[in-house]
Amino acid sequence: MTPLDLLIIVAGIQGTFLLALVVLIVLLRLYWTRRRARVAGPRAELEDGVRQWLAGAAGPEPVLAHLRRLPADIALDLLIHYAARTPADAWRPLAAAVRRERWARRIIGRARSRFWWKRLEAARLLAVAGGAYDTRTLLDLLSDSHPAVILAAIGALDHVESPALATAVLERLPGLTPTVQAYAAASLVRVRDRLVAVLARYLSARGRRELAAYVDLAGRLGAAALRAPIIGLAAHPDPEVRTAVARALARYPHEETVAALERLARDKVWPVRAHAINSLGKIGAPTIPLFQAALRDASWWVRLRAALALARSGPAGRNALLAAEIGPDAFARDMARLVLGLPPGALAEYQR
Amino acid sequence: MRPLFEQVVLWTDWALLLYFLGLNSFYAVLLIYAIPEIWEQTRLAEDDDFGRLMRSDILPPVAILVPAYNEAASIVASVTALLTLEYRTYEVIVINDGSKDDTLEVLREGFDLYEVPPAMPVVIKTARVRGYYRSRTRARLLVIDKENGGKADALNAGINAARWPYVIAVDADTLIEPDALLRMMRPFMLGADIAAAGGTVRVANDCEIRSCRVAVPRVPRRFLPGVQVVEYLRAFLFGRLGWNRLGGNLIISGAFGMFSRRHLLDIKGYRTHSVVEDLDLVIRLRRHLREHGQPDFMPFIPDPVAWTEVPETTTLLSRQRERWHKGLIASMWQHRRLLFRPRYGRLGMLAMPFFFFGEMLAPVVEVFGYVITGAGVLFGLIDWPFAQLFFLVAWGYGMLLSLWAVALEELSFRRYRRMGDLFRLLVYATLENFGYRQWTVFWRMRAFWTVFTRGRTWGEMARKGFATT
Repeated sequence: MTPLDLLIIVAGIQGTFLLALVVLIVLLRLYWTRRRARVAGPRAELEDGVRQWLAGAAGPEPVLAHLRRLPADIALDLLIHYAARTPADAWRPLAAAVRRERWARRIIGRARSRFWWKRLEAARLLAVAGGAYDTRTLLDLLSDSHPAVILAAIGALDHVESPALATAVLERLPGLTPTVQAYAAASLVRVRDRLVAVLARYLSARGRRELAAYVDLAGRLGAAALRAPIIGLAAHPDPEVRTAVARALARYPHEETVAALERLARDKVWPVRAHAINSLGKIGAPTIPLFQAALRDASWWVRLRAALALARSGPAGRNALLAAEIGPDAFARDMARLVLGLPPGALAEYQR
Repeated sequence: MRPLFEQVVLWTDWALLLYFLGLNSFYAVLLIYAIPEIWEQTRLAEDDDFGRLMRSDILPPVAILVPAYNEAASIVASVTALLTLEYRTYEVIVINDGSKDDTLEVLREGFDLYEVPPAMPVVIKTARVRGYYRSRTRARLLVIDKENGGKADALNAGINAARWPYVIAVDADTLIEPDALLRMMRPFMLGADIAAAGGTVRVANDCEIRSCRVAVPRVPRRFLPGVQVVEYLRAFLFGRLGWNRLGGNLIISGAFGMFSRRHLLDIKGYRTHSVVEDLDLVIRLRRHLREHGQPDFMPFIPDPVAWTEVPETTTLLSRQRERWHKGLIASMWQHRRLLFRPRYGRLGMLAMPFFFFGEMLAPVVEVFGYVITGAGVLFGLIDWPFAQLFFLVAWGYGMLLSLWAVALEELSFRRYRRMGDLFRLLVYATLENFGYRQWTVFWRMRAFWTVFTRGRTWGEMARKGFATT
């Protein structure tokens, strides 16, 4: 075989590939166009069916029938869409009926697939149509290696009443990435009654490596029973835990809280001081001299939080800021000027 | 004499053949890796639960940095569009980089600005800042007025002033889709410690634009902007997606990329004397992360989209491409010590060698190939049908890559809904290799010429301002 022959063969293969690619592109376009057209009708009928079901004019059967006519992935997307817009009590009967459908069972059966997107589909469906009997599967999905699957499984807390599930999410909380952790915490807030006792126990176990995450969650829950355990951690040797305590106490206005925050406002680590000042400002503690002192802090963030806290503290705080604006300390002067110059909208945004 | 010349031509031909074989095999690897990557990214992009998470108030706040130089005509509309993105907590920081027109006055009137003291401690040194302004009507807006220092310097001033943990740099003339910020945040949520991520940039020419938003995407009818649609698809949909599986990208577009502010401060922000500040930033950032034992993976996310206007004349396009290639040469030269250094992992062993030999030197090798093969044919050393077929196969491969990018677009996002648009994409993907490709090779060669004749005076290019791309 000569080099020319070889090149001819390569050119032939390449030409075939090119042609196949063009055909593939055209076929793909035709497929999507037809699919869109095919789905449009059943989709509109489903919309109508759901409306009638919600109005009490029809049972769930027509909705199930319309869902059956749609491709499973679209049916799942629409189901999630409606679940998010329907009150939980009203949703429950439909969810139970969907759970019995063959297409739904097929999707749930993928919970142990080796492909994460199939497990994701199963988790998404269970999050809106799962029941207490799906707890075992959901627990497995909560331990998944893909964060998106975990996230979808966490969503089940809204619909599936299972103490084991709530505790499992709580257990996994510290190991999650920060934003997924925040999402899980926000979901746990909705089942707070089941969690307070367990969380109080976790907070008292001082050896726990994951304490900061639990303190943050306790801050979100705002349950009176958790105040004392949180305050008990204010002298923890780990600055991350003290920072979390300073942040969490903003949700617990109380004399003991103010005393603990005053101590934290003098911490040697600046994030702890900044959060303590911020929390004192949020709970409206009458600690203007402390804020004035913090206005001269070496850390810019602490000074900002102090100035914002003063802006929140009514006429006395405002007078303190005005005095700082013409005072001798350059740090305090600049920060007072910045905060006094903010319009209400910007001030509110800074104070979030 | 002749036998020697014959040997030189034949051995050079073999070397060129091996070079293209290696390079094209690597492209094939990227192409293959792009398939599972786009499949997974599409699954995540369509996940509605994820959408709900992203609309909640638990997302980290973001600062959008908008460097502006002589943008008086469009700045109010652009900033207004940025102020209405779908994201809970973000701020828009416009940095007026010593504009010679009345950009600042237009902003002052449009958003009722008033001066405030410096909002954040200055960490990165920049040209003198003349003032900071907040808006009485838009709490999210901060305007920085500074002396001219170039785009990189303006971005550094923005990084200094940003108060949120993530910053996203966008050009003032870039149109960002309303949910692009939400989508761009996805890897930061799923990955524990990601320093940066890049989004897709698409061509806005000929698209239907309403209120600074692309309402109906279209493929331009004119060849020059139209063929750039294919180029952008190829660069973003398979090039960068493929790199996601090979250790992360080396390029995050300066027109649309998100960074962790903490990491940017660690490396003192953008380097003001670099020609293409985005490439230099990413290499320095990855280098810094590797040297400090941190993960240096920077993913590309295909679904957040920003639209930009591309040059429609050969003069503007040639300038742009020459500048890009000069920037590539500069960055490769400055960071040449990373090449083949196992200490830098895939950055040193894979990404840098690819960009050095495969991207930077590609036009030189291609021109050399044309010359040697031409000489070989002229002197009867190479068979003419063989040479013809060789070029046809080489260009056919380029066509294959372009068509593959179109196929990936059809498999995933399908932004161009009309059949006419699809037809045009196919035509441009086919014609790109006959004429247009050779033009771009010539422009990139000119970049080498400028570099060699003017020495390493990269800094001279940095203060060109922000002409539309």
